[in-house]
Amino acid sequence: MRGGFLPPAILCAALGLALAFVPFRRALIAAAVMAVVILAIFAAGVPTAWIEVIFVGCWLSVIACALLLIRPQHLPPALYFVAAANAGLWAGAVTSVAGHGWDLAIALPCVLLFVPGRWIVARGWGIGLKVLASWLTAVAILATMVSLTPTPGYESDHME
Amino acid sequence: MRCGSPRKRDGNDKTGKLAHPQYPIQYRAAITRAVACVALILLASPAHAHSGTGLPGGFAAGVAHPLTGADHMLAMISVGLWGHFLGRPLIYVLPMVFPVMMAVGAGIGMIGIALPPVELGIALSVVILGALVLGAVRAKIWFACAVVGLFALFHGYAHGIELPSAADPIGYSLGFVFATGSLHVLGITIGALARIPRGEIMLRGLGGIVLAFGLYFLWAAWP
Repeated sequence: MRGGFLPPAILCAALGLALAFVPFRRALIAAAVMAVVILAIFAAGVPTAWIEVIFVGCWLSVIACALLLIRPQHLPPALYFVAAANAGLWAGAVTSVAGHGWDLAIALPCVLLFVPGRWIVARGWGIGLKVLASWLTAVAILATMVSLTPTPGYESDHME
Repeated sequence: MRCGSPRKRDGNDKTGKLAHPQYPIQYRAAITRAVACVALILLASPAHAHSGTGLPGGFAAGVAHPLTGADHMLAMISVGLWGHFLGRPLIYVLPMVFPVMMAVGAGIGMIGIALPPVELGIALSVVILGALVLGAVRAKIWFACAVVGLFALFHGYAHGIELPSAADPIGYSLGFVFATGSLHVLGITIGALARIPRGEIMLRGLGGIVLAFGLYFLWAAWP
């Protein structure tokens, strides 16, 4: 079993960490963009046959969000909105094919990590968020690799 | 079920007063049964008939894995300790490099690419990291990243072999990455000992202890 709330929650958390380095208003708009896209994709539904591509897309998006933290001061502001829309797309899709509506209720608030994150960055401890993002990257790499190696832990169980 | 002496059974004591005037005898039995029922409900363990595949693994198993092996634990704490001697930026770059390279190593393990004896590599990592802390070696950024990245491959490989069998691979991944990272942070925290008088000597002493353990692991893992 690999669905549930964890994949969208990790993606939302990675975006939340990235948004901690941008001005509050921009972060809020980006979070709203992500929430709208997630809900739209979840409501529209995604074909279950795309499940493999969707999982890989979700984990690659986690890595992409984590990469935004490397040099946040040198990135164009529009990139954060693109990243938010992208994260919303994959988080909504992964919940649609391997989750439930209530998984979104757990995953979506994770994007609000940017609120305490901004407080941490303002005190000069932003490096802690970068370290956390690198850990999420490691989890995403592992999850991608697991999806490429069919094993008992990876295969769908009777809950899916 | 006895509820005391026959005299008390009607709710009266020797003086003829009610023992529990607010709870007549017929209610006391009902209350006892209700309390017993609630206790049984609270104490009963839930059935886990539909909790997954039946395979071991999950977040808790992932957290436990690096903590249960002394070789993993010492290597990861040593990375944090060495980071203290290396200073900025390596003090925070190494805890970023290690988990990412560990994930790459786990991927190599999952795909099935053979590495040289993994236990030997892990034992060697403990020896060399212990020696680097003991010697308070101040390496260049590329060298430190290469050393830590190489050893992370071996540690990740050992984790990765077990990962696909976990019932909840994502939970397991989260658990062991965060446990690994926390061990680095523990090492960095211990590194703060250097601020006290003779703290640096104590840290180097810790490196020596790690080196001694590493030599034992190497001896045990030698084919």
